[in-house]
Amino acid sequence: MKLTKLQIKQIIKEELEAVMHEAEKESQLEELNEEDIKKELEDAMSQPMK
Amino acid sequence: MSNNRQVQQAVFIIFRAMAQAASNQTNLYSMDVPNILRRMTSPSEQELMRRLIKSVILLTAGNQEVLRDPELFVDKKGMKTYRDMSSTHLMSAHVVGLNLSARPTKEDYVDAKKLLPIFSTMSVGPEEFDQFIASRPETRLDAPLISGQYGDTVWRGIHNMRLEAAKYLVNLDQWDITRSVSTSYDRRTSYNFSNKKVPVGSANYRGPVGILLEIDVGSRGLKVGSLSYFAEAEVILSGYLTIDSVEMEYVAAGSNNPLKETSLEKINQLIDMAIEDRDAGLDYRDQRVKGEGMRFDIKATHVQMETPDEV
Repeated sequence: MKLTKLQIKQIIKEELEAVMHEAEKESQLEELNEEDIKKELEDAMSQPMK
Repeated sequence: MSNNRQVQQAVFIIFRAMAQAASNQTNLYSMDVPNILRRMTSPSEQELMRRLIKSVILLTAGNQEVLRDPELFVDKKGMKTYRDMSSTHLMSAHVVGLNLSARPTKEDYVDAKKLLPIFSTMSVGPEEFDQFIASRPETRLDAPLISGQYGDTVWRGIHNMRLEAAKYLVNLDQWDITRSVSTSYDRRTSYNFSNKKVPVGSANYRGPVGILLEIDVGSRGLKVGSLSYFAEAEVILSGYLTIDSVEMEYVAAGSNNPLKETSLEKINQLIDMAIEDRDAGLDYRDQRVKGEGMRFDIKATHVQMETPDEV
């Protein structure tokens, strides 16, 4: 099957979007390391309950 | 037992007596806080009591960031004095030499960081408490102080948590709280705090999750009660928490009624689902599990930690 130039562009665009989405998710997960979570819990526990 | 440990235990028990006296505005006890401080503490206990009171004031009304890391302390003009941060009851600490007009120093924060974990993991049973009070005849009590005022359970609410933090917490075997945390005998205050919402988009927003911890403490913890600046039946606790059970409340797609789940495996699956849907940018209506409205009731048991002989 021969693809038109437009179809190839569309496929590349979709692939790029998928890769970008994955990379974004990975960077978010990297940011959520254990130390960050521990600090978040510590911060939450140190607030006065007022 | 070294002398110093005896002094620590004495100060711990007297502080509890003060908290009980402060909580009872009726004349159940024959002495108020200033008189307990003046007449029950020996000179060797007064110095440690003064340090402990300063530490409690800093925990309840001081700078929490500095308490965690005293190196962050900045000596600023216009900083609050101990009087500004004290509850009415603790203002009587001048009788043990606390200068209420003074402003906290970096050394005070360093000392509080050292003292609070020690005092908030200590314990005293009802019998030991009563014996100690009876051993101080100089107090000349008309009616004995009684120890059975508080239950064995304390509560702690937390809110504005990310889904990831909730997942981390529910899967912990033991939670390290050795830096001291504020808890309360008042379930309602803690529950209401766990349900507080921070607006999405605000700089302080972290996440939608609220958590209510129910902690079995036995006779452990530094009971502050009405001595607290916020008058919240406060107990300061440090040590470790073992997570005994978790109940998750959530709203699933197609329903407005909250559902409950207690199986940890299913809870993990549901949190993962909520994280996936959030990360996919799904609208609230399209999410299979709604992050908003997700809350947890966690039962935990406090485990005492070792403390040094000398402070």
